[in-house]
Amino acid sequence: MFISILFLIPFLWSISTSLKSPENVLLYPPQLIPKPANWNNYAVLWSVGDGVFRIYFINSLVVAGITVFLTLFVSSMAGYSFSKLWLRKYPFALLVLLTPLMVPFHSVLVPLFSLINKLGLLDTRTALVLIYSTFFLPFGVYMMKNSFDSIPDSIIESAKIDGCSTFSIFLNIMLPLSLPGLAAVTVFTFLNSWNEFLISLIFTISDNVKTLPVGLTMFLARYVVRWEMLNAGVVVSFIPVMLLFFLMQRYFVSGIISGAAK
Amino acid sequence: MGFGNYAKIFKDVVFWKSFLNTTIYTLGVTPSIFIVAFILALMLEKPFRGVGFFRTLYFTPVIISFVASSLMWKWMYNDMFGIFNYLLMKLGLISKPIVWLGSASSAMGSVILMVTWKTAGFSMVILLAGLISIPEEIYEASIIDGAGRWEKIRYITLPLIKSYFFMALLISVLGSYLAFDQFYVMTQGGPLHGTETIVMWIYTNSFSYYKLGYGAAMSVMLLLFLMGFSYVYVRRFRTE
Repeated sequence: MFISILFLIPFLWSISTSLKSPENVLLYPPQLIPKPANWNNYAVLWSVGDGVFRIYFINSLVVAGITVFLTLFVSSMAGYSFSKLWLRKYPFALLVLLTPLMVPFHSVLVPLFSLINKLGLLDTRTALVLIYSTFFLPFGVYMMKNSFDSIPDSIIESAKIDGCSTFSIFLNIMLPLSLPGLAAVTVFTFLNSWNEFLISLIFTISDNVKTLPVGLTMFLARYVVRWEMLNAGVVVSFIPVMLLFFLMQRYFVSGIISGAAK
Repeated sequence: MGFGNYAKIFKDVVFWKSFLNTTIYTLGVTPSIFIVAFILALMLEKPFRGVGFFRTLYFTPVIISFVASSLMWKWMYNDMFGIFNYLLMKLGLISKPIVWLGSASSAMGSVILMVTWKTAGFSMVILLAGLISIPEEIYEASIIDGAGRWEKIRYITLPLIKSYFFMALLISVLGSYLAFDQFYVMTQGGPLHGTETIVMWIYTNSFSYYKLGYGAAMSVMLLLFLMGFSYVYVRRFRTE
């Protein structure tokens, strides 16, 4: 019980600060419960500097959303192929595909930079989507392959006899059956793209392509004493991941743990 | 060019300092995470009313970003208005406010505490999976044999969850050697490179000084080091 309160303090303190008026933030001893609660901070945050925070937030949503979509699209089909179609005869191909799992992107920053630069994609959200999808795909394919592996082949056989095409079997039968796998990939990909910092820091320069984590550090530099606004920003950055967490809690742990354990 | 960039690494004082810093950080944060995670896992192993709530609660910091948690803690550590100094003074543990992020050693400790809070839930879940896989009969047998609380943990729990432990440990060590976000936000590597990490130094060289070749050389060294470490680690574990 005592430990759980200790665990909650950072969250509570952040929420409390985000609701204080600027004068009350710089009080000693600190106010534990904001009086009066100043909800206006969130409105200010949303509109400050021509709505720059809003842009960061939307960028994060767009980048994470498209990354999730691309990863699901490719990894479900590739995973299916590795599990049930002709690629299953080539386990070596899977091994090659999984090798990048061993290489963290921290160690390939410079080659990535040259590549993105040559493609003319520096300072675009496309660059972020491409990099994230590339690095999260191996895990996605692996996860989806395992997910399809757990579905017996006999289902495919009987669907074939009933006259289903390969694609229709995949779309109408196999995909709905592998929902837990899809959910785990969604959670893993969304969380990692939403929270990712280093790649976004390197590959985005202008405010209208920056994502939230980088945006928050920009805020730290720009509004260094406006802690109520910074904390409001932090709280807003939790909301999408918390929502996802409570909606898909069952798949969360499996997504994160198998992602790291790979 | 040739191997000039690699030769330069050996003469780069800051690189070796950052290597040392990252190693100190890893050696500090790993035991800290594991002690907390193991205690939490032991507490939450047996089902009781609301066990799901507590498991969720301790896992929550894992899903937020390092940037967000670093900002939250940077504000908690604020020497004048932060809650950290306030609580410690209220409890009578310190007599005057401490500038936690002001010196290299206390900044390192502060980051370690934050990361422990942030990631203990992750290791907890892995260890919990291990604990739950231990059949109840083994404990029952040990009680008949007269094992106490500590003996049960020492001779049954720990040996049986060893593989989970080793996996969680490897993830934690590799992750710590790649530390960047938390130091970038909380300390900027300062004071005087005192909390500079390897990835930070690679980042600064590559993208602030535009010494791309040198940055790439350091990246390769880091990758080789981590791969070597993983290889030796996994081999040792396999033979045991």
